[in-house]
Amino acid sequence: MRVNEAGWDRVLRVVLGIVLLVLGWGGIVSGGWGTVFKILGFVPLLTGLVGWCPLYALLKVRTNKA
Amino acid sequence: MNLEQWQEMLRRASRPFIVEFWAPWCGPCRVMAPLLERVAHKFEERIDLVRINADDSPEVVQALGILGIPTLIGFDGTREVFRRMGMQSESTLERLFEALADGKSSAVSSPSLMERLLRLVSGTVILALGWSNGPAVVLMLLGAALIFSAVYDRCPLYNALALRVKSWLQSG
Repeated sequence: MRVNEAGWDRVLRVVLGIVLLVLGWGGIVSGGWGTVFKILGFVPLLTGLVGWCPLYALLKVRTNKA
Repeated sequence: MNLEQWQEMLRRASRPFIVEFWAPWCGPCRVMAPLLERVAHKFEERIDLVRINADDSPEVVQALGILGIPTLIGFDGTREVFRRMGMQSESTLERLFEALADGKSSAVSSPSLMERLLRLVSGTVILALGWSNGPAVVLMLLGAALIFSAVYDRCPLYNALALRVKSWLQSG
């Protein structure tokens, strides 16, 4: 599993994930959207932390240098 | 070795090398020394080994941010590619030397500063969210795991335990 995200991409994903998780788990957004954020937030967070995006791999794109 | 000698050595390095920081009073260093010499001998055509007495080189220790000994640092040119603190098994040493020699050091490299920061920040946020939600144990564990993953390679306790588990698995 080779890293396919650039540094800026990873930071952006982690920030987005944290924002979604805070909105969901912090109770700022409640109801259906709150639940969606609680789960969806982990996706950009984990792909950002690992540095590998399965969608990029599927589409054969990358934001870092090969 | 003083700082000037170290910088001069870095400039003159023509091939990858591994630096070991050790001290005469350090037990794990004494245990690891023959293993390290054996592995270094095996790779002597491709990798240089530089052994630095930490007691005699306080400037270099400070400049490289050495937190404990033994510490091994792999350099490719002037770039640090991995760092391992604590005693390492012979198989781990071989893996480190081989990765550096084959230019595959990313396989054994330590997390970069950016990676450490990302893990620390997200781990802390998740830990706090877990604490404020009940507390939610799963979230808190995930946060703690992320925080630990940012510093695990600098933890002497983890290194000692990992070494024991590895040798236990190999013998069993």
